[in-house]
Formats: sequence, structure tokens, C-alpha cells
Amino acid sequence: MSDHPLIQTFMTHRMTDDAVRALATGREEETAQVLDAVRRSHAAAPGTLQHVLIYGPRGFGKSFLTRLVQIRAGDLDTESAPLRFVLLPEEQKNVTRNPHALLAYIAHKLADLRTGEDGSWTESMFQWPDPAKEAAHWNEAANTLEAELDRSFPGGQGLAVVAIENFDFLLSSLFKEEIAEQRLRGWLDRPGNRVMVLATATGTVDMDYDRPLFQAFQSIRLRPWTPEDCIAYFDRHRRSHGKPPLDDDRRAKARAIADFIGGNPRLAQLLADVLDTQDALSVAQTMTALADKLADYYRRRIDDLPPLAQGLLDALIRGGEPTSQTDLAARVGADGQNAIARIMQDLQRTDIIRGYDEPGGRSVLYQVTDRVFVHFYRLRQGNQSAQDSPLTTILDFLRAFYSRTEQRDQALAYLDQGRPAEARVFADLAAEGGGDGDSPYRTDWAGRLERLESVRPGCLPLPVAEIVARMDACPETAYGLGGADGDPLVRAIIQAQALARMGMAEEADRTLTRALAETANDKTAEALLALERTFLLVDELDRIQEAVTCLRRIGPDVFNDWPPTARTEGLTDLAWSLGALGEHDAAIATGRKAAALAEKTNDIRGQARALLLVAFSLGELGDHQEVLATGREAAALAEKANDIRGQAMALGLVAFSLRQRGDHQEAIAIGREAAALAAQAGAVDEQADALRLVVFSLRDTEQREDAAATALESAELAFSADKAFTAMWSVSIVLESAAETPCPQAIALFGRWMDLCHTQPDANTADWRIALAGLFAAAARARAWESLDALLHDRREAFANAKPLYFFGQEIGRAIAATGRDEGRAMGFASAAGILPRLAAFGADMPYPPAGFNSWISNVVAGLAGACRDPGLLRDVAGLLTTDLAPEAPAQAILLRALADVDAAEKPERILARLDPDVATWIRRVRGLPDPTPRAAKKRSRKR
Amino acid sequence: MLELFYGGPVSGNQRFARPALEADMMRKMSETNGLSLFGLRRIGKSTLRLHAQETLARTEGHTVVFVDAQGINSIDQFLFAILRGIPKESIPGKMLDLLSGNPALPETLRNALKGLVSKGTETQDLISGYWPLISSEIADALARDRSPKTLIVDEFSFLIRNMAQAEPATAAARVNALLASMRQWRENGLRMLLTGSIGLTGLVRQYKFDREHLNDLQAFTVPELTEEEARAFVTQATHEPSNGSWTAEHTSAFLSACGAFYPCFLVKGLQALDRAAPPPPDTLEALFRRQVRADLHDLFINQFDKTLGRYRETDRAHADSVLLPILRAVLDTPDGRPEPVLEPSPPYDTVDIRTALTMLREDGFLDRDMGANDDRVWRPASRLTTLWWKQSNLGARG
Repeated sequence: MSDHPLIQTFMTHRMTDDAVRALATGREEETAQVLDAVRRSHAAAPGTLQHVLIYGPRGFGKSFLTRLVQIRAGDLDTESAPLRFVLLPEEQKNVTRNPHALLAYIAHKLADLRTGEDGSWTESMFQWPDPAKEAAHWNEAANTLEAELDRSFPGGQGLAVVAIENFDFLLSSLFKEEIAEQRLRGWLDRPGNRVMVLATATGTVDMDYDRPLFQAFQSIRLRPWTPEDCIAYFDRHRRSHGKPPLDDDRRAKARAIADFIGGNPRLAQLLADVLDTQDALSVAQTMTALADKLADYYRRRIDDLPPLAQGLLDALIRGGEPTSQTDLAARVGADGQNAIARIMQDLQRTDIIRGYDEPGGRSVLYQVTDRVFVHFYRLRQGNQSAQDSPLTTILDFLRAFYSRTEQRDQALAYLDQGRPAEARVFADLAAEGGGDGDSPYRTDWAGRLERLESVRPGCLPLPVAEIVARMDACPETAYGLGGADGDPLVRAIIQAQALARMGMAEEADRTLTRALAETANDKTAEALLALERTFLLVDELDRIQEAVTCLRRIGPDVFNDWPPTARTEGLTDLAWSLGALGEHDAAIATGRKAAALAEKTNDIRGQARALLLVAFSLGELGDHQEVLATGREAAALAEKANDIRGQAMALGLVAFSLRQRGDHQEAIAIGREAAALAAQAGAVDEQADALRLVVFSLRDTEQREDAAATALESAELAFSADKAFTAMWSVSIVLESAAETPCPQAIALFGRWMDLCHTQPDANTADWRIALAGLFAAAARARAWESLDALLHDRREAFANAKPLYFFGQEIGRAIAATGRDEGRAMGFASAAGILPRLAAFGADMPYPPAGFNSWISNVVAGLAGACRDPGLLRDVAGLLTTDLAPEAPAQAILLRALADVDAAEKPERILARLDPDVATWIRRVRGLPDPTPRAAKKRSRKR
Repeated sequence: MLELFYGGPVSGNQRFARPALEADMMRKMSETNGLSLFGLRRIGKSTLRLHAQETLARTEGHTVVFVDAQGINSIDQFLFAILRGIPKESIPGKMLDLLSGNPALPETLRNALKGLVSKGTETQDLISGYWPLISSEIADALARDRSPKTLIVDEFSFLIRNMAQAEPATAAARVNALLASMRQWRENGLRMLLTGSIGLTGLVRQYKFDREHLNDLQAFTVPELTEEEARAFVTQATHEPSNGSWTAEHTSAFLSACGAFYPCFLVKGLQALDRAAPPPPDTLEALFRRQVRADLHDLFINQFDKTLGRYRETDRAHADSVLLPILRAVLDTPDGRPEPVLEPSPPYDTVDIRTALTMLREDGFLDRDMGANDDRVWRPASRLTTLWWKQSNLGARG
């Protein structure tokens, strides 16, 4: 233990007054409440006194607070109204089985205070109990105590404050019989009382209605320390040890400690020195040592719980935290959440667990408050991973204690020390919220290794399949496969791959950059590294411009000396990279070169891949005619090579170009074929992409219902595969379709999108906030009010907390128009009547409405005006535009009514001519009418 | 200023005065043999009792004997407690002196009384065997001395339950004897105020004791504070410490968050906040939810469930055929239920229904007042009852 930075636990009873004052932290409110009760009792004595009960879990500073009150209460002691503070020892073994002995003990302690002697030590010795005489003994002891109070307070005035710790324990042992507890209650409430009891307890004392002590005390519940309290304590502790106060960095770490220990003051005290430690293993060892040191304490905390509470706690830790009560009930096979609710409440009351609102959700999630306790529990209950890697059970702590940079540094340090498990822990922490599990940089790595081996035979330490398998299984151990003395090129490529997979792409890039700098005149090595780095930059780091610069190092000629397959692949990679970088002409030329070379070597698959890249770049350049030929050729070759995914991608390009050319029916057919092939290949992204292409053409040809159904199919695919980015595109087109034709499923889909964004909140995930107006448009078109209201209500927090994005509302107006067009004016009106007040209420509820929302009504009106040719509907909707919705609504109503008049008129210009010029101009813009030609001014003939 | 105190009976500046209620109680005390004051715990019964005790003691020539029955489980202890409570200088005190020297009394009893008078100590010799003699001596002494006297027994139902549990086999005989004696004393001029937090009628029924001996006591209850009273309570407790910074808006927010207007709810809420620097009114709801209602509401509401469970345990048929229908009849009626609350249905008669109503009143479910036509109207005893009823699903619609 001495190796670990633990300080000794203190006995508050033995601490000097100065030490107590110096370390007093974060209990100002509670101290004031107790002192106020002491003051009131002091003033009232003899009389009705305020007894106080301090509740708090073990380690929350109950004893410390008692000592502090003892010191501060001394200020009230005066000659005319003395105040005696009797601090009983933490345990009272001498009074066991004899309730009256407690009163006798208090009397002896008071006598000691009066005489300065230590008579209570022998006089309060245990006496053999005689239950039959307990009633009389109790009265006698009460009388004796009164007599001692008379001696202690000869002037008549005076108060004795008796501090009794672990009062719950005393109650359950000494006053177990109800009649004994009744006597105690009677004694506490007796007239002319001069003894105030200040008790502390972990378990309940006065909460049982059927027990005599029910609500007999002013109870004060100690709350956990806040992070600020912890910081204040650490500073005081450091000052007392001659150390400087915490700097900003250490303050952040202090907060991590505060979170980890759940604000438990005793643990804060024990972990104060961890702040000066950087080494994570040392921290972990400290935690383990701490768990050992606190074993008794934790065991008691568990033992304090009733059996069912112990069971639920066990299931919470074993089954994973945080979790909701409903899930926990299901986990333990209880009959619903109600069955465990009361026990969970008790666990919360004792601060063993804490609940917090699920971010973006409706549930309350629960987890164990003190994470050291969880660490202890896992170690003691035989959790294998806790025993194998000391860091795994303190992840929460490491996550908050170390900054991202520190986490990466720790990971690299552990990799270099050959401690892959620890490195992985830190790498995972550093990578949280980021990383892409199936980027081409990772999925195509085997191919690139094959090429490496063919270009530099024998350079790999193991067969490609084995390297890849090891990398897939455990990148942190594969990290060292390149060996210290192996080919630096190979070592760098393997290390970079491992680092990227561990979520440390920046470190991977530094590794490759360093290796590139050391390639000197080895052009092949340079090309291989540059290609590797390009993939890394594009796929993992999204740093396109740097990739361009890197790629400039490679000329196509570099590949000339490579074996044919490797050369084809090199050129194909180059073409892909150039295409990804937007250099399409160069990509087409390089791709064609690769295709020709593949054809020459009968590498059909390689030829297909190269042509696919050519077709892509052709499409980007708008040469759709050429795409059709090249894409179809690529598809045919892929089919021949049994590369179904490649075939699907090629046909997808063809479908895209067909639509661009207006060949919608063929685009729909080819798109569906591409989707089917992608499904066959298990390529969800490609399948969803192809279906979206089909949707576009269906909408272009006004096959709205089919479009909506296909869009839904595409979205379902994305959700089933948890692909947030693909889901974004798919839901967007669902919403677009849903503004045109009723598609109530779009509302629920939007909710699922919100959930998916919540679970994948990385930078690449498309944000639902961009499509808010689409949601309202879909609701308006389907008149799906219940679904919309439920969504807005259920996710009101997510909406309220969303950072504002723009809100463009014209699609809502178009949806109203589409409803009128397809279902008649009455339904169009119903659509407007339903959506307008909801929009107004939504804006009113949002603390930060999105940009553009302040003009939502004019946007909706503009959308409606542009799409609606029914003057009656325009007038009806105008009637809805009142100031209840927005101050500018009546002005918008004027516009719609004027537009209706113009639309209904046989000679619109006549109406327009009589309108307010601004209104007329608006209508001309909406309807695309030319501005009136100014009449030429007549020349006046000057009279002579 | 109202000094806040939580946990026991209060007086002086710790007590919130309820003049009408107090006057009503004192009037009924003077017009009857005495009152029974039973109801939920922590609703102010003991404070009202203490007020009566102090008021009567201030009345010239009036002797008040107070007994806290907590911890007493035998007639002996009860008798000693009564004798200890008699002021020495009072006429009954002098009578006690005479009794202890009365050669007509058995020696055991005289020694017991002597010990108590001279040294304040209790003998361990059992004297309950002489109970009829003692009781009639006391009755005779009371008949001789017509000075006004009141015996106040707090937690009287604890005494009855303690006796029932201490020696179950003979409990009925002993308790019935005690109750009969006490009735005789009352008839001979000893006015009584019996209070307790367990309904005495239910308890007597549970243990099958003789309820006849309690019929002459008039039932009295402590109602919840009215909103106006609660407002005055909060104002008195906050005005001075806050130096005026506690506003009417604070009081309104406090009361709307409070849930029940019993003093314990108000005091607990006020003690949880800093009255010198009141928090914003809109934070009071959270404070009550976290620190007051979280504990107290659950405790009281659970208690109603538990009491109902006890009724059923004692007599399932009675609970289901009389008690629950009464609760439904009253608690499902928003404006209260005039008598008759329930028509008798064999085998239960109107006496059973009246007894059941008294049980429900003493256990804090229902209370009764006079309606516009001087008829008796039964209502929920407090908001807590209403809240419990809603949650219990026992109502007609439940």
C-alpha cells in the first residue's frame, strides 16, 4: 500500500479543532441548519427542543459535520446559559441490551464534562440486562440524568447537546422493542427538556409510520459534494501539505475524480494525491488499493441494504449501466417497473444509485453513483475483465481524467511498452464518437497488402491473410507485426493501419508521413506509402487537399516496373484517388490506362473496376452519353467476373445518367436492377442509393405513390443497417415525396432519424434539423396530426435543445396546395388549418428558433401561392391567417386574397393595375407575369 | 414571529394559534366528560393537547394530570404515571398523601404509594391485583373532592396496544377493567382528554375489547389548516427572518407546492430553505418535490394502505361490506356525503356503520362537519386522503 498515493483515513473524533476548521468543505448549508437548531434549542431550554438527525451514506462526512457543530456550538456557551456538547463515541458497545444505559451513559459523560474526570469509562460499564425491570430502570436513569442536568446547569438555564452517531444501528439493536422506542420518544418529547439529540444515521430512523420515532427529528440529508466542493477540498488539502493550488489542468482532473466518486467526501480525501499522477496504471493500482482499503466500508454499504436491493444492485452492475427501471425489471424477471420502483427509490435515497434523464429520450437511466464501488464490486464478484486489465473497470474515470490528447499519448506509450490491452483501452477512449468501421482504407487493405507483396516479394512478415486476420481481431497486438528490424515501409503501413483502427488516425498519418520522409530515392516505396496515405487522408481524415498534395508525388510511370496486376491496381487506385479529388480528366485517362492494361492481362475484374471509375468521372463531367456506354461495359465485365457489387455500382451510374438524359422509364428499370444486385451483394449503401435514383425518376414522372413507397424502402434499408448518413438522404427524399402524396409513415421515420443521429452523433452524420420543414410538410400533406403531435411532445427536449439551423417553409405551402389539388379544397383547407397553429406553437416553444423561422408564415404563403391555382382555397387559407399565428399574418392574408382575385379574373392585368404596387409585384413574381410596360410620356406641346 | 420546530408538540412562539379550533375544543371539554382526540401522526394533535393542558392549568383551582403513555404496558405503570403526575401541592396530591397512610388499604399498596410520595420511586410489587379496590378508592376520592380536575393521556392507544401485546391471554380482562375504571372516574368528575395516533375504536375492535366504556367521550379531530391559515402560518414564519424579502408570491408558490396543509408539511418545507435569503418562488416546487413530498407523501399514503390492510386482516367481511362502501360513498362524492352515508345491510346495522365511521375518522380517512341544514356531512379528512384515494384505484371507477 505504501507504494500507492493513498493518505490515511482520519478519525474525526481525534482531529484537532484547527484541523477540522481548515478542512471543512461544502457543508455550509447543512452546518447552518444544525447550528440554527442548536440555537433554537438553547434558547428554548428547558422546554421543547429541536432534535436533529443527519442522514448520509457512509463516507459523506456525518462525523466531520458533528465535530464541526461541536466546535461552532461552543460560541453559544455562556455563563448564564451554558451549553455542553456530549460527543458519544462512534460505537456504544457498553450499553448493549440496556436501553436505560444510554441515558445513564449521557449522565456520566455530562458529569465528566462538569468535573473534568473520566468517570464514565468505568461507571458506564455493561450491566447484565433485566427486561422485567427495564421500565423502572428507564425512569430511574431519566431521573438520574435530570439530577445531573441540575448539577451541570445550577442556574436553571442550559442545554446539553448529545451527539449520537450510527443512531440507526443503535435503534435497531438497543431500541428494537417497540416499547423501548416509545420510552425514548417520550423522553425526547418530555416537558422541560434540556437534552437535545443530534444523531447521525445511514439507514432510516424516523421514516416508519408505525414506529414511535416517526418524524421525531428535523432531518438533514447530506448531499454529495459538487465538483466545486471537491476542488475546494483538494486545494485545502494541498495547502495543508505545502503544495500550490490546483492549476487548470488539475482542476479538470479534479472534476473527473468528483464525477467518478459520486461526490463522496471520504473518497475525495483518499484520492487527493492521484491528481499528481500521470501514469494510468498507477491510477488503476491506486483504485484497486482503494477498493481493498475500503472493502469493509463497501461491504457495510452493501450489508446495509435489504436483500432485494442488493439483488437489484448486482443486476445493475452485472447487466450493464446505465439502464432504465423498465429494462432492469425485465433483466431480473420482475413483474414490471412497478415491482422494483420502491426499492430503486430506496437505493437512490441512500445515494447508491443516481438517475438522470436519458439524453434525447424519455426514460430515466440509473447508474451506481460511486464508481470506485463498482470497481470494488467487479473485483470482488469475480469479473474476469476487471481482473485481467485493471483499466477496464475505471473507464469512466480515465475518460474524464485524461484529455483526448493525453489518451492518445497514453495509448502510444502503452503500444511502445508492449502493453496492447492498456493501449486499446486508451485508444478506444480517444476514438469515442468518431472513427469509421468500414472505410475503404480498412476494407481494401488486404488488396493493397497483396500488391505490396507482389511489388516487394518477401517484404511481409506473415501471409497477407494472417496479417489481415490479426489486424481484424486485435489491431493493438497487430501494431507490432512489422517488427523493430523489419522493412520500415511495411512497419509503417501496418502500424498506421493499426492506429487508424484504434481510432488514432492522426497518429497513423504521422507514422506514414514520417516513413515517407525517410524513403529517400525509393520511388516504389514512396508510391506505395503515398497511395496508402491518400486512402487514409480521404477515408479517415477527410483532408482532401492534403491528399491531392500527397498524390502529386506519384506519376503513372512509377508503376511501369510493377507486376501487371499490381500495376493495374496501382493505376486504378490512382484513378480512384484522382476522381475522389475531383480531377476527373486525369482520373479518366488513368482509369482507361488501367482498363487497357487489365484487358491485356485478362484481368476482367480489374478492367471492370477501372471502367467503373472512368464512368463515374464521366458522369461528374456531365458526359452522360459516354457514361451509358462505359457504365454498361463495366457492368457487363463485372458480371462476367462475378463482381456483383461492382455490377450494381456500374448500373447505378447508368441509371443516374439515364435520368439526367430524361429517359425515366429506363432509369427506373435499371435503377431497380442495380438495387436488386446490390441487395444480392449485401451492399446496403449501394442498394439504398439505387432506390433513391428510382425515386427521382418516379417523381419526375409524377408516379408519386410509387415514389413514396420506394423512398420508404430505401430508408428502411438505411435504418436496418444503422447507417445514419444513408438514412439522411433516404429520409430526405421520403419527406420530399411525403409533401406530394400522403405518407404518414414519414413522421415516425423522422423520429427514428432523430434517434439514429443521437446514437451516432459524429461529424459525418447528417442532422435531422435540416429537414424540420419537410417534417411539417409531410404532416400537412397526410394530415397526420396525432403522429406529429406525439413526435413533437415525445421529443420536446430534443427540439428545445437543438441548436438552430435554418427553416425553409415553402414546402409546407406546397404540401397544402398538393392536398387541395389531389383531394379537393376542403382537404386543402383542413391541411392548412391543422399545420398553421402547430407551426406557431412550435416556434413559441423553441428557445432558439432556427434561422428563417421568424418568416415561416411568409415562406408557407409563398409556397402555397406558387403551387396553388385554386382561388377558393387561397381565400380560405387567407381566412386562417390571423395575428394568433404571427403578427405579420394579416399582411400575408392580403397577398393571398389579392392573388386569388387575380387568378379568378378573366383579365388579371386589370386587377393587378388596381392593386397596391408592392402586392402586384409580389403576384407578378409568383405567377411569372411580366412587369407592366411603362407608358411613354406624351410630349407636351408647348403653347406658344 | 413563529419559531419553527419539527418533531413534537409545541407551545409559545413555536405554536401557530388556531383560536376557533382551540376555543371549540375547550368548550367541548367543559361540556362533556371529556374528548377523544385520535388521528394521523404529525398533524398537530399533541400541540392542541398541550395547549389545552396549559390553558386548563392556568385556570385557578384546576388540577391537570398529564400522562405520556408511551412505554407503558401495564396498569401498574399507568397508575404510577398518574400518581407521579399529580402536583404535590394540589388537593389530589394531599389526597394521595392520605391514601398512602390509609390503614384500610393493603400494606403492599400503601408501601407502593409511600415509595412514590416520599422518594418518587416505583415499587416493583404488582398491585394490579388490587385494582378494583384502588379504582374504587380513587372514584370515592374523586366524588368527595369536587374541585375541577382533568386527566390528559397522550398516546392512550399505545397504552392499550402495549397492554394487549404484553400479556395477550389476560389482556381483555385487564384492559376492560381499566376502561371501566376510567369511565367511572369520569362519571365522578375527572374530565379526560385521551389522545393518540392509532384510532382507538379500530384498536378496541381489533382486540375485541369492550367499547361501551368509551361511549361517553366525544370525538374531536384536528383538521388540516385552511388555505388562509396556512398562508398566515407561512407569513408568520418568514416575514421577520427574511426581512421582508419573502413575498406573497413566495407564499403562493410555497402553498401550491406543499401538497397538504398540515403544520408538519409547512415546517418541513420552511426548514429546508434559507428563510433569510429566500430562493426564487419558481424553485419551491422542486424543493418540495425533492425534500418534503418525496418523504412525507409516500409515508402517509402508504399508511392509509396499511391501515386498510389491518382492517381487512381483522375482519375481511366487515372491511369489504362496510368500511370500503363507506369510503366509496364519501370519497367518490366531491362535495361530501350527508348522513346517512350508507344504508345498513344485514348482518350489519346502523351501529356498525356508526362505529365504522368513527374508526375511519380516528384513522384519518374521513372527517365530519355540519352541513347547511345542520345535517352531518362526511368528507375526506385531508388532501392526503383524496390523493391516496385517487392512487388506490379503490373508487367506484377504479
